[in-house]
Amino acid sequence: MSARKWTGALVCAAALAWGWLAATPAGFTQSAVASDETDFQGMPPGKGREETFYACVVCHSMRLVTQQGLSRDRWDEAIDWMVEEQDMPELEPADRALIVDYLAEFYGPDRKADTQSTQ
Amino acid sequence: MPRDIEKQEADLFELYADDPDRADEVVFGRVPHDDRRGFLRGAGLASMGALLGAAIPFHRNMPAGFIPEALAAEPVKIEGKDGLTILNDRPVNAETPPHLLDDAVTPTARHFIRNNGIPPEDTDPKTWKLKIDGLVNSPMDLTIDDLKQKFEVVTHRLTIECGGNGRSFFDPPARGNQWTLGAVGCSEWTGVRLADVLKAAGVKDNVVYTAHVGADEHLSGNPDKLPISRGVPIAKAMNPYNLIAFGMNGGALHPMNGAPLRLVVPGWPGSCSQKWLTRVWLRDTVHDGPKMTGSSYRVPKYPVAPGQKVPKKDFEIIEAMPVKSLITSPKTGLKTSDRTLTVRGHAWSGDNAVSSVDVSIDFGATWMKADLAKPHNPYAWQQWSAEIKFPMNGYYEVWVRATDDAGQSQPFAIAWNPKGYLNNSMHRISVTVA
Repeated sequence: MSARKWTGALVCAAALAWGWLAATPAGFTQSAVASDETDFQGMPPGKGREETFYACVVCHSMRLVTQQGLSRDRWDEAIDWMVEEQDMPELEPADRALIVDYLAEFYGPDRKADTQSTQ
Repeated sequence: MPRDIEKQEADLFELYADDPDRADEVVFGRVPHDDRRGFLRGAGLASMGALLGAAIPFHRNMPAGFIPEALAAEPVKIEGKDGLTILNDRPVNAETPPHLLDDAVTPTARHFIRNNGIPPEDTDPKTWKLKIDGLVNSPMDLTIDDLKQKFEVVTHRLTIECGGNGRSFFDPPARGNQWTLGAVGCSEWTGVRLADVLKAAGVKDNVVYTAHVGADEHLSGNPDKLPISRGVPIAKAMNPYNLIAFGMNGGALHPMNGAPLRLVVPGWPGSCSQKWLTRVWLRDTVHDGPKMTGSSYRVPKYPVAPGQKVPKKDFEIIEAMPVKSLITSPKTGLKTSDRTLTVRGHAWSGDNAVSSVDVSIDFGATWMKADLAKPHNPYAWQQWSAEIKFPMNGYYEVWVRATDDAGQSQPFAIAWNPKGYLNNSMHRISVTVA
């Protein structure tokens, strides 16, 4: 099976499970979003978490992010690289600042998120 | 989790992979409504509910052809792989714990995965096409059957290691997948020699570099963008151990390892071994495809301090991977009452062969020579083993160090570089004798 179909199936399945738990009449697509919002794939709560999550998961899973431990400068460079070479849409400056601050706070060289993860 | 349940889950995924709607019917007796949601017949709903141990209140909305989350116990599971540590699920990146790499020939289920993009959906080997073009006398379009008929088919054990294997030990951390030890494997690959195919196409005199193209899609979804396209100098490309491979360990390639066709360019970063191969293009300049330029698969030309900023112009392309070794038995953390212990593993070195392997149980103060086998063929990792005698009870570390036929050996400390490549520092395991 291709990774895309496969990931899709998992996302759908996760959405469904959340739908049951929350017992809301929300439509299928809506519950997929809600599921992500509920756990943010283990990202610790903090200012900019939501902006960070949605900017990242467009192209890749949060696992690629939550493995890292980079200084603010290096996170800034990573975003430059994604915008310049990987077709990432340019971020609004205010969002970008929020996102880089969030990443540097929890996914800096000390990997603070490892002890604060919601999972 | 008991083995049989694990197996059931794998089968469930396989069934759904092949034909989700049919799987629905086979597994649950489920036939959806015309809008591909819900359950047309009550039987399917009842059996799925029984398996889940609960009724499904919103069953009318449930799309056809997918596996309920509650039955997919592991959030990420890769069919046909066993025991791998998953670093990332989109794109898929997974490595093998060292103790599961004990076989001389890495089983397909234990070979690491490093994807840069999304694998292609259509991987039918009957219709797959490979183009050889650029600076050749006669460009070629070949099917896999053409390759098998026109060229000698050979099988070799070939070591592939990701350029970033060991990145997770860098301090300060380096950006990228945080590989520990297991982004390496030595499977038995079957295919035709890249050199034979290039010779048949006729390599022009001005060729400098190859450029490899695969069918995987860029993560952004942009169909005009390649996730990765790397190459090698033409001299390396003509090495007889590079294969255009369609077989792995006597079977087909695993879908995540590039089925139905890939390059295997052993001894160099795994990224030179393009997966889902569709084109080899010969160029009169160093290839500048995605992940050839900038700091990708490059290291500074000179030694740098950990954390040092290095200007882009001071990076050079990684070629052969450095000498390295792994302890595959016992698993680290062994507690034993036996003062005698056999340790073993593999050793390999880029384009070279390994000439000796030494082990230490006293933090590197003294070393003893291990028995070392010759490679099965060039570019196959070599097996080593040593019998250790512990002088008294206590905590020990077993360290291993390989030396290659060019006299190069492994360091204790990491030669830090900004992108976290080429970590060939010594592998060590802990053993407590009590």
